[in-house]
Amino acid sequence: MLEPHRPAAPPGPTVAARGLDPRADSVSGRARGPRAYVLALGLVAACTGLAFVMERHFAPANLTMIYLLGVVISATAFGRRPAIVAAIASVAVFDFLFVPPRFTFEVDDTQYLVTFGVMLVVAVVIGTLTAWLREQRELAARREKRTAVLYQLSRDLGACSTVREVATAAAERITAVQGAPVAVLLASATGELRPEAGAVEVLTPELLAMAQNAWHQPARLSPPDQPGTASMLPIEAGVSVAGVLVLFPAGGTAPGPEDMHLMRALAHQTGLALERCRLTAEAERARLEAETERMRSALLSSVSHDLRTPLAAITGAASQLRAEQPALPEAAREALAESIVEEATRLDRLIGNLLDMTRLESGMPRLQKEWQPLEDLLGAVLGHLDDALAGRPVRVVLPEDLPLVSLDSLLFGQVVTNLVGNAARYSPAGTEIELRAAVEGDQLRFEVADRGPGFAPGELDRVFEKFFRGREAARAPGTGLGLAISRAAVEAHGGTLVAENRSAGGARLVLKLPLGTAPPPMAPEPREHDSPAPTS
Amino acid sequence: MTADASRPRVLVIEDERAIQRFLRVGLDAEGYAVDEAATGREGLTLAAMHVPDVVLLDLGLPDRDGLSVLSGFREWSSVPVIVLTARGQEHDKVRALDAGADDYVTKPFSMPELLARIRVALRHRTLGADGAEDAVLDCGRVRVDLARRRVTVDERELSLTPLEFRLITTLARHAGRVLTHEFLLREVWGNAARGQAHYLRVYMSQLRRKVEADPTRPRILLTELGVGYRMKDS
Repeated sequence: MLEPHRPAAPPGPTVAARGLDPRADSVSGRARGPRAYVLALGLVAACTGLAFVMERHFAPANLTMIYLLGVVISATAFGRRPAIVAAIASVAVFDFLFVPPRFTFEVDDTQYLVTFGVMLVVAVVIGTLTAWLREQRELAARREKRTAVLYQLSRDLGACSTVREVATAAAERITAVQGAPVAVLLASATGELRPEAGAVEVLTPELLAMAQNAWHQPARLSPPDQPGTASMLPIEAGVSVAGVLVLFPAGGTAPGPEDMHLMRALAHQTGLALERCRLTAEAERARLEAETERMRSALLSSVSHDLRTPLAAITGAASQLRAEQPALPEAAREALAESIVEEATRLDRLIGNLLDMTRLESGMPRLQKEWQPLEDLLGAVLGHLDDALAGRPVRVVLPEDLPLVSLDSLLFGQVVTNLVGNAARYSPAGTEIELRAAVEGDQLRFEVADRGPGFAPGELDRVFEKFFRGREAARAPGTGLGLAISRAAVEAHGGTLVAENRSAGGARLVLKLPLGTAPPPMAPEPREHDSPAPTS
Repeated sequence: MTADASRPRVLVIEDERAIQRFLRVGLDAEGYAVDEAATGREGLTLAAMHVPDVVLLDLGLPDRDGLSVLSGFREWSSVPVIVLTARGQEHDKVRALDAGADDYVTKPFSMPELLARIRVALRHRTLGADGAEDAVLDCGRVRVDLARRRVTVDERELSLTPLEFRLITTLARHAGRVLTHEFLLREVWGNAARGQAHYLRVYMSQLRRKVEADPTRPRILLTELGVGYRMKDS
């Protein structure tokens, strides 16, 4: 009944105290090993000295109290066994020195036998009780420490959202707890065990092989047989083993059962966090898949409608030309031919947009950025848009000293084409379109503005969604892709693109690009008389 | 197709039937003699047999890379080659031009556009053939008087720096044809300027301000995005 509920203490120092906190010894102030017995006997000697002093004033029976005090102190300070040794020694010394006949172990008065018996029992009981209390206290402290460690780890892991972060946080925390390096190895998607975090640089091929074994056969795991070797702990995540925790020996000694118990708990917690990450990633993937599916059906419906409309027009016009050509008046033939060309152009634009979108979404091939004057690019784009602009006034406001900008000219040209094309499509014929560029701090601000109906309130951000057709846009032909592509392309350049309404009416798209560092300076032009005559 | 010696001969190397068909109709109507090949090998054989005046070469052939067909031609012939490419293959266009193609058109293209390119190519062929160069390059609105180092636009004389003069001369000499950045840099700045395309772009902007009525809406010095520059021919 007095025996505390705990696994049999290992011989020698308690593992928890050694492994978990090197200061444990000094904190509890306990003397250990033979030293405890020596001190306990020293205490008996001190009691004897005190008893000699008190002998003159007290009956010998009262002196037993001093010895009892010594036994109690031994029990408190050194534990149960030293206390029992102290009790036996006390009885012997008391008998020898104070019980008549003195300086013999003989006992005249049999009453003293009772005294001895009671003294022994009291010593054992008190020693056991105090030792039990002390052990309970230590156990509670260990539990508290363990709870604190687990709590700290779970707090660390809670902040992690990726497998790598979990591995790093776990390695850091467990290293701190263990006071020795640890390494976290995780199973990769390809079914290999790869070092992920912690002291991965000290993993030898042998250790990696051991970890592999541990990963394949987690049931066979056990602490290392001899001190000085690393121990392997499986990191269980749900039903599978997500990885292996490699614990390097702390101070050259093997971790004891208490340590292993805590480490197992930490590994378990790491496994749970990994499982949580995996589930989160899976949910995200499922969400993305659903999103892709939604996009795909939107794409299909948009494409089937938008591709078929121009095709229908082309087929209709071409079949009329074929069937009735001699009968058709010249003007009608021209109108049909015109509509074929127009619709084919529209079809080409649509396909181009779809391709651009796909390219941008499937991780653009690296941008081919080059330093260039914006004017050069605008000129090319406006030249291509001559037909779409149909003689409408276009005002281009560029400061003379606008610096060169670093752009992928094709992709950015597509952006400007989309913005100016939109302005032309969604504003009344004949109204002015304004293109304006300026330097704003370390950014280039470029805007395309029209005098159309502008954006409906609440649509300012939605116009950049794929296949979104605004209230106004729904009336004009288009794919709902132009602005989405433009924003993606501008963002690929590190810039931003937003839609606004002009105060005096009309839509404005504002594009901002980081200007970056100036291009290398131009070589000065040779003076007139240095240059060779430019003939071939 | 009756082979008429007086008609310019166009070799079309293109595997798409639909495109072949409308090219034949359009070229025929314009008075060209047309040879057709659907593969690169066939094209090279036909070129050796009939010596065309212009070659239209599709870059996406079934049997071999269009660029290798092009360099096959260039080993023994200086016949003008116009490359037919798809949108988004600017890199291929530049490579084809640098490998000796004279021009390109991007599919889908209009027949008048293609015919204009063919005319430019044929004219340069006759120019190149007689070896000597005119003292005056007349490109419609722009006239370059090489001997007197004078450049006029619509009879208005321009004051140009030496590099601007060299740039506009190079463009005028190849008027109507697209010139790649690499080519222009080499011709105007020499080999030291390789890869410094922004030199060219800055000078082009300067030149436009002198040549064009509205430099943001150029009508003479045209930019081919991602490829190079072209001076509009008369």
